[in-house]
Parts: sequence; C-alpha cells; structure tokens
Amino acid sequence: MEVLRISGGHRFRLKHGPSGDIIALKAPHLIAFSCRGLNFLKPKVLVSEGEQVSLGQPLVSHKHDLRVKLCSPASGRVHEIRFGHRRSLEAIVVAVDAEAEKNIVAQKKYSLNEITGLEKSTVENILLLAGLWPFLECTSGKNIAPFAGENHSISAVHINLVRTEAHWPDPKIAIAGNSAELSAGIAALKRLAPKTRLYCAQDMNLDKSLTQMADIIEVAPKYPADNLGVQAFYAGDKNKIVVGADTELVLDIGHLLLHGIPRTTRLYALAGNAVHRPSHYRSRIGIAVGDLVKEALKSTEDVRVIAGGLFKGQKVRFQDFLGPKEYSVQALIEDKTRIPLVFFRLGLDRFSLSKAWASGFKKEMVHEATTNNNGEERACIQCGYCIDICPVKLMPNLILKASLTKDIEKMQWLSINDCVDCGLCTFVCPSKIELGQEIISGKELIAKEG
Amino acid sequence: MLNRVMDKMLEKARAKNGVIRHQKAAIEAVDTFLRRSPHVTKAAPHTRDALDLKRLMLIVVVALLPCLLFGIYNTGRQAYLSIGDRSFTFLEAFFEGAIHVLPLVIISYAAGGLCEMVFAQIRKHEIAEGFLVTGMLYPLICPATIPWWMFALGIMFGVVIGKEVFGGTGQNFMNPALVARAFLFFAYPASMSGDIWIKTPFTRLNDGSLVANSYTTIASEKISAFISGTTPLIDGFSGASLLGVLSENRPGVDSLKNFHDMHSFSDMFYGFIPGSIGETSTLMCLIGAVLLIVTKVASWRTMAGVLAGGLVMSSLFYFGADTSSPPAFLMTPLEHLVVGGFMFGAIFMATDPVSSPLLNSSRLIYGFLIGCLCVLIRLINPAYPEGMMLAILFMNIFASLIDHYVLIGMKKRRDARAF
Repeated sequence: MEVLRISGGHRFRLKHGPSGDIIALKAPHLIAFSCRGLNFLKPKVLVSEGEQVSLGQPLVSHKHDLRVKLCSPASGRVHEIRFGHRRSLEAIVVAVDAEAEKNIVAQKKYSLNEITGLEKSTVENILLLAGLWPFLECTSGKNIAPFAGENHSISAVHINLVRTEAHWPDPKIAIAGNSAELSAGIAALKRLAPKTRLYCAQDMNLDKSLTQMADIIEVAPKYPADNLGVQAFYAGDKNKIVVGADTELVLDIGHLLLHGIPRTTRLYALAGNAVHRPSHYRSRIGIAVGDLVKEALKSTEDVRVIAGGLFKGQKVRFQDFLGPKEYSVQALIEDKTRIPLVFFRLGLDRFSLSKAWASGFKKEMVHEATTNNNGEERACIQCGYCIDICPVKLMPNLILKASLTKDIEKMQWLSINDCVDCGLCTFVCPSKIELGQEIISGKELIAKEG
Repeated sequence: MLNRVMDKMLEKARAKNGVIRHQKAAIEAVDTFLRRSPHVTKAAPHTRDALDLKRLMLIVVVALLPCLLFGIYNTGRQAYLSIGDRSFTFLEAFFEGAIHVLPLVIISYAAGGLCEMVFAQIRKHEIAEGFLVTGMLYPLICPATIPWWMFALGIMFGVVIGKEVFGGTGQNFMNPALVARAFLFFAYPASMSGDIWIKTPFTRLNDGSLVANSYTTIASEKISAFISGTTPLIDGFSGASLLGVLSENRPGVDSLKNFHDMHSFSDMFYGFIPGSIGETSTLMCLIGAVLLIVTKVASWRTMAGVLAGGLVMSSLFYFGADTSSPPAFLMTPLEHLVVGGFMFGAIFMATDPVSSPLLNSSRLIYGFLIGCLCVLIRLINPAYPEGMMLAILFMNIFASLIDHYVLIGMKKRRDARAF
C-alpha cells in the first residue's frame, strides 16, 4: 500500500488533547451560518432579519456565480444578520424552531447502488442545491466555487480520513457508526473526477468495500500531511485541479444522499490547558463558541479561544459562531509568565523542535502548547529553519523579502501560491517573524493585481 | 526578587522623564536576557517554538567556551615559556593567561556593546542578540599581545562598519568579527603578526636586555628571581607563528625543517602552540563543533565543505610539488587543518548564518571554496601566511551569488514535479 511521507513538517504530540469520550451538548437555542474561513465568498444575502427559514434553505449566494449557495443549518426565525469589519458579512443567526425542523420534507433519497450510477452533473447539482459545493477544497490557492457547473476538468478527488494536526477530532470517532454515510459520500465524490484517492491514518482499518472504491494512501502522521495542497504536491498533479473533502464533509454528502435531508450534527474537539476535561463534543453544526466552551472552562479570565486549530485557526469570542470548517476549538491560558533565567536552563520541558533545548533530544515527548511568543521579533538571520520545515519545499524567508518589497514577479517565481498556510515556518522562526501572515498578504496582493 | 528589581528598572527606563531613559535599550536587553519576554502570539500559529535568537546565540557562546578556556591556559603557558620557565603548574599558567585574556573579553563586550547600544537607542529598537557571539569570537581571533586601545578600536570598527551601517544584525554581508580583525590586520600589521604572538611579561630591548612590562601582574617569586638574573636566560623563545616560519622562502633556510622542529603534530592538534588566543587548539574547536552540529545551530555542510576544500587544495600542492617548489608546498594536508585559524574559521566563522549562503547545497559549495582559497592564500601569496580570514571574507561577498545560481537550479527541479 502506498504511504505518503512528506519532507519537512513535524509530528506534534501535545498535552491536553481531546479524550476519546463523546459528550452530547444540549440543543442550542441559536445556530448560525458563519462566513469565517470562506475567504472566496462574495456574499449576497437572500433573507432578512425576522424572516422564517427552514433547514437547507439558501441564506446566501455567491455574487460571482449565483448558483453557488450556502444554506441554513436550522429551521426557525432569522434572529440576526451580523456584519463585521467594513460591513463584511460575519454570520446569519437563526433562532432554532425544533417543531418546524421535525416537519422538514425529505428530498429524493438514493441507495448506494444508485449513487454509484449517478452522472457527474447530477452530483454537482445536488451538491450545489444543498449548499455543500462551496465546502469542497481546491488546490493552488483557488477555490472550487468558481468551477461550479462549468465544463471543468477535476483531475482527482482526495478524500481525507486523516488528521495530522493535534487537537482535532479523531476521524475514527467521527466515522464510527456512520459507515453507510461514508460509503455513500465517497461513491458520490468519486463521480466528480476520473481518479479518487483516499488518505487514511496508518492504523485505520477500512472496510474492504471502501478499499475497492478508491486508491488508498496511508499517511505517515506528520503535520500537515492531511492538507490537500501538500497531498497534491506529492501526488505530482501538475497544473491540475484537485478537489478535497474531509471526513465531516463526506459524511454530510453521504447523509444528504441516503436520507434526503441535510445532516445537522457535528463532532467537535475541545482541547487546551484552560479546559477541565478536554474531549469530543457532539452538537449542531454552527453552534456558538460560548455554548461549546463556557461550561468546560476552568476560568474565563485571560483565556484565548481559538477556532480552527492551533496553526491555522483564529481567535474567537464567546458570542461568535463556529464556521463550517472549524471542528477544533482550543482554549488556552494566555501565557505571560516571565520565567527567570530561562536561557541558561537545560530546557527539559520546553516546547521546541530544536535540539538547542534538551527537550529536543527526548523522542515521543508530549509538549504543552502555550501562547507565549518566546521572544520578540528580530531581523531574519538566514538560519534556513523555515526552508527545512516547509512541507512543499518553498523558501519562506525569500518569499517574505519579496512580499515586503511587493515584488510580484519574484513572489510568483518563488511559487508563493503553492503555500498551504500551514504556519510551520512562523512556528519555527527563531527571529519570531510573522512569515505566514506576510505570505498571505503577498498572495492577496497578487490576487488583487490579477 | 529578580522580577521585582527588573520591573522597577523597566518602569524607570520607560518613564518619559526618567533618569535612565537613555539607557532604555540596554535595560530592556538585560531584562529579556534574564527573563522570558511576556509577549504573546497575535495570530496563527497561536503557539511558537521555544527557540529564539538568544538561545541560539548562547549555544554558540557555550560552544566557544572550550576554546576560550584552553586559550586562557595556552596564553599563560606561552608566556611562561617565553621567559624560559618550564616549571609552572597548570593553575599558574591559567591564572597568568586569565590576566591577559579576560580583559580583552571584557573590552570586546564593553566597546562593541556600547556601539550596539547607541545604535539601538537611536533607531529605537532592542539590542540584537548577534553581538553575544561577535563579542566572544573577536578576542579569540586576536593575539593576546594586542594593545587594549587597538583592540577596542577594532571591535568598534567591526560593529559599526561591518554591521550597523548596513542595518544591524541580519543585514550585514560580512562577519563583523572578521571585519574587525581584518581592519586591525591591515591598519596595524606589526601588532597582528610576526614575532609578538605571545604576550610576554617582558620586553626585549635592542641591546638584548629584558624589562618587565608594567601591566604584567604575575604574582610569582619566580619573576623577581628571573629579573635579578638567578634564572637562566630565555630558553626556547617561540614567538614566531608557525605559518610565518614556514613562509620564509630564503636560500639556505630549511623552513620546512624549522617548522617541523618547532612543534610536533600532536602539539598543533592539542593547541600547545603560539597563535591567536582561541584558534590554536583543533581539539577544542572540534568539541565546539560537536555541540553546534548536534544542536543544529550551525551548518555541518559549511564545515564539511571547508574541510574538503582545504584537504583537496593542499593535497594538490603536496603531491604536485617538486624540488623547485617553495618548502611550504610540502606541508601535509593534515597539517594545514591543525595550524593557524583553519579549524576555528571552519567551525565558528564560516558557519555564521547571516554572512553565509542560505541554501544547503550552496553552503557546501561556499565552504569548499573557503577551504580552497585559504590554502591558496597560505601557499601562493607570500604576504599573507594565514589565509582563513581573507578566504572567509572573500566568500562572504560571493555568498549571495552562489545562492542565486543554486536557487535557479532548485526552481527548475521543483517545477518539474510540483503542481
């Protein structure tokens, strides 16, 4: 069996990770469709405050292609349409009406056999109508949304049943008991492209039926081997469109096709040193951060809540709602402690990939992630650590210089758009330079200039 | 206790009308050196590696300690030998060496640190950590006999012209410690080479008599006994540098034999020879190299490149030499590695990340060329018996060029497979 081993990257073992328990949260009163993480979206709001909506009804469409829609995660009344910086749409909050949800009329149901015989265009239409299409990922900094319904040529579909980043929900737990949905989802996605690759963890025992549906590739557990961009890089898909779906999206698609109604539950992982009992939580899609976190916190003072992972996520407030791709929530105590004479210690407990601390020599060491910057920003000294850790063999520090001087040609020559925003270069930089943020602004500049 | 004192100092330094507001940069530097900074991450990734420049530079300083300690002992040892006294103990030699070397280390940090502080204060940023290493490297590559004023002038030149005028740590294209030494080498050649490599407590006058140098404080009765003439006069004064002896190309002088007569290979390897304070011991350099390579603070590729370059080039001369060649050509390749500043340069100087190339393969090429150039300068250019400093400075200038061409090659290979 093929094994994906990436150069660069790192296997992170972090303390305060979610245990295998699943805690079911009580049904929340407010649920929202949040735009966070959907950077491509130019939203056109289709509903107004106070309007009744039903589960699966379009709330927003994409201005550049009106067929691309995003749908309501619940039935009820539109409680609030929340705008953020410069009136950009942040979230559409719906007050849940449990009675109305019971009366949802199921759409056409398909059996597994029927799904395997579906046309590519039919699958596309189903995904577009149900508002699941925009959640498919696409390589090369593009998004799948612009390709909707066109005569595009997706060369491969990557199904990601693996998470290599710490503190994310375990795909094995998400899949357990949902094997029918998983098979249906994979069968549907398989219709989109001539090639389907299924990425899974090395210790995952997949059904035989699944192994016949796609090329199975085992992933050596190094972050960010679960990233679509990284996988496409190593698969050698040159100048091709590769589309990816993670475990939850595959289950969503499978559920929709098998049962005719959208899936409303989601498996979240809550972790971090500010949480009493880090574990998995099952709740509705699009719940408020406060509903998930508040009761689990040791204290609300000086705590940072991050949605979407330690390396790529954003700081969120309790009143924010979790975005469609944010299954991992961390609560970390802001670490402003001033450890005396820290540089003269051996450093057996320091969270570092470097052997300049004694902890670097301990194999299988479990570290504690804290929010301290561990130093102040300095000039780049060309140590080359960012180049060594980059999973797609970029030169982050050279891109940084090109980006700071707004040299678009140089940035493109250095393949800036291959960057998968994994954040590892920023993590390892001993000069504490915000490489990742600068590369993102470089990419934005290129997008703006066309 | 430490927290309270530092908090108070910081508060005073940051106050607008505070007495010590002009020392803010220095106090902040001391503060972040003694305690971890309280800054937290602003955006993703929300956690950061514990390694920062302070730790990185400290590792290099620790790697330099064996060289420094041995340098102190060897300076004292050479000082005793220069007065013909062979009956000293280890501690006596170490004490004598410390008196000569430690002031240099203190001057280096004080004079260079002052320049750093002035620039940091004017530019309103914190003092960069790079100076921790420069301040330690510089005394180790200077002879112990150097006058203090000259020594201070050198490091100030190195820090200001070699680094700060280009924008400070990270922006300099040449190694500041080597710039400082090169400045002294060309400005005051008499103090940097030749017969006064050992700091002797005595000066030999023209008429052959000896007078005690006023700054020498050897607290031993032997000296007074020696001055009063009870001890035999100079026995084995070994002031000339080995490479200086070897480069002497005069008829009737068998400089190769003189060279081999002066010291055995093991003396050269262990470092019991005259020379710059920290450069003499290959063994101590290798101990530092192990630490640097294991912690991945310095590039093993650069070191390997320099060794390979030195061995290849010196082998060419050694095996290609005939009877008409200068005697220096017959120095064996291994001897090249253990004399002068070759090993010290390969391990601590060439690996400076700021002034060396960025890419792994360019570092190999860069190192190889340094090794070749060093041997070439030693053997071909009679004006400069030691070539390491000039070889490294010369390749510093070419580092970006090597990177440029290696990068083009890497880009082609990457495009052939990615996306």
